[in-house]
Amino acid sequence: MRIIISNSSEDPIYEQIIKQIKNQIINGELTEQESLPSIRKLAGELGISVITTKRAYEELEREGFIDTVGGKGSFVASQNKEFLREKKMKVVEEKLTEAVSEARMLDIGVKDLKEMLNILYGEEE
Amino acid sequence: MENILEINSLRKEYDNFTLNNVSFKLPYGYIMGLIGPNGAGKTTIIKLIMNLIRKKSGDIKVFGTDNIENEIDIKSRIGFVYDIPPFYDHLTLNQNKAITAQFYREWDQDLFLRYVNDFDLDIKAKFKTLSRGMKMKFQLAMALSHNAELILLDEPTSGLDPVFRRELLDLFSGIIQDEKKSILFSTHITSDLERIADFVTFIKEGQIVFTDEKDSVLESWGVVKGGKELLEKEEASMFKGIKKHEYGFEALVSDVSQARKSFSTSVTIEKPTLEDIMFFMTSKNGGEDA
Amino acid sequence: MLKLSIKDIRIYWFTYVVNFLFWTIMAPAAIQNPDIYMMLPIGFGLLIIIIPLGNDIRDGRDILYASLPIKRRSIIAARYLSSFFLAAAASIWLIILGLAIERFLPGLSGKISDSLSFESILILAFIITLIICIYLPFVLKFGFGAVISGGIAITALAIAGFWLGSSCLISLNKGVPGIETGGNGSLLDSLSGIGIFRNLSKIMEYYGRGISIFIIILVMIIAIIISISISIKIFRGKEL
Repeated sequence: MRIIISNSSEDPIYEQIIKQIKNQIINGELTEQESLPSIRKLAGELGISVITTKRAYEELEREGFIDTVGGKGSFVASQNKEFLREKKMKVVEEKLTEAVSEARMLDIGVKDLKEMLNILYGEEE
Repeated sequence: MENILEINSLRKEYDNFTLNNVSFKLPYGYIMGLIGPNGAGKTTIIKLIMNLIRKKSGDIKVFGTDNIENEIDIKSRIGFVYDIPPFYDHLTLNQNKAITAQFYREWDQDLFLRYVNDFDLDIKAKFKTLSRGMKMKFQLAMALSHNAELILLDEPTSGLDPVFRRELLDLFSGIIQDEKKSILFSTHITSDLERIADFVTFIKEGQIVFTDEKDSVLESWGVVKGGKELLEKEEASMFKGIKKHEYGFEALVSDVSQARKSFSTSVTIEKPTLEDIMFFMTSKNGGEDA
Repeated sequence: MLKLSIKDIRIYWFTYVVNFLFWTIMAPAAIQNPDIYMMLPIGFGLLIIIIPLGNDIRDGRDILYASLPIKRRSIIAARYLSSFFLAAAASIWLIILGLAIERFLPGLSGKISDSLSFESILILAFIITLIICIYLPFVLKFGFGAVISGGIAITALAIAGFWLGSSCLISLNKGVPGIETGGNGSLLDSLSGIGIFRNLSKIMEYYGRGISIFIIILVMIIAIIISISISIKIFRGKEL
């Protein structure tokens, strides 16, 4: 597992942790049932407050990404394929929502946006 | 969460200073930073917990029991590090240890030697030959070698180099890993707390300004920057410690969402550091709206 | 408690050694007059108490002990214990030294053994006890400033008081068998101090040895009890 905290980021630290763990679960870096460090160990290693890591884990558990078993620690929750795909879609959807709202503010229409998408996908190929 | 330390409505009167209505709690397994400008009352609070001075009124509970009724038992479970180390200058570290350690029923000599080693201390050296940092490290080694559950530190990092301060904070993180120990340390160097403190209590002129989870504080307070014309508005009363300059002003707000609602895009709101909060709150018009 | 009392020795042993040497060298100078010699332990005993106490108070060591799991009253009791112990050690040393000088270097000394008796040792103990009982609470209340000046003042007063009081007592009792005052027994003669301890012993014998001893010891005990109570009360309320 890899967690990098940026102090200058706009995102609060707990959100950075949530995002990074989420992404690693979604793209398979963290596998099902894999055990995660305890909130205290993580806090100690990162040099941050225990309450911060606790919050991150609680949120991840709420969203179904991890399970915490009392006495045993936290583990990556079993992700069924549908669920995983849904999560991936959600990540992209969030990004697109941002793009759409920016576009609206700057008066860029949906046609231009679609064109942009095509070009971008084309580039990837 | 049970509380290792509970302070309620604590009051202490001096001729030209009064500690008034101080209340806060620290649960087991967490770190609390006590911040505030010099003379705010941080040392007074620590001395009151250790019963070195008498309170006027209020309660102090340590490990769930009154700190005076169970003074001896409580003190055997507290490790203290004072601003001015109370040890004998003309004796060696080992001699100082010998005098002090004999009174702790759970003294762990092996643990002590391990800390001495980690901190690079020469136990044969005379106490007065040590630098300030070394003296602090010795106090810390002493405080951590008798299975203390509550560690109280009064300005442990002032006068220390940044490298050691970082190491100290890492050490603190390590100490609370077992969820049974807590650390309370007072400091006016807030950057030390930014990272590892779980709770922060800000005291100014003998009164508590806030006591809360550090994350909550940093999320709900904010530094607001905008044009000076905004200061005319009624909502400007939420600004604390206003600093005007040629091209605008800066101020602190304790409720960022309220600030966003009232001023939306006409101001920039930034995440504060604890130092920002202390700075704005201790400047001329920062006080009263606490 | 014992640990607390012994700690001073562990900490200040070097000071004590210096003291011992100093007074040992002083001893032959005073030994000409056995009665003055018998007063040396008072100075020695006090000095040995003052120095560590003064250092501790000046440097704020009380904060250390008050932060450890030790009752404040134990800190006080230990201080009394170590003070008495040190004063006793100082006295015993000087007495032995005096006797040794008398025995092995008879030319140097007067007759210490004349002044030495159970009664005179008791009187010495009495004076020292009173000094300690007044000095310790005094220093506790008035802090570092009082340590040296207070010590010297109290000792000087005690010695002067003893000298004067005893002289009066002896002068008033000049009829008592065995009293030697070296003159016609007027107060002025008594003030020379010759044989002061011997004379006091005779007086005690005259009025009843047992009773005198009993009263002296009783007063000592009462003084100690009152003094410790006062000291504990002061220290309990002290802000550190």
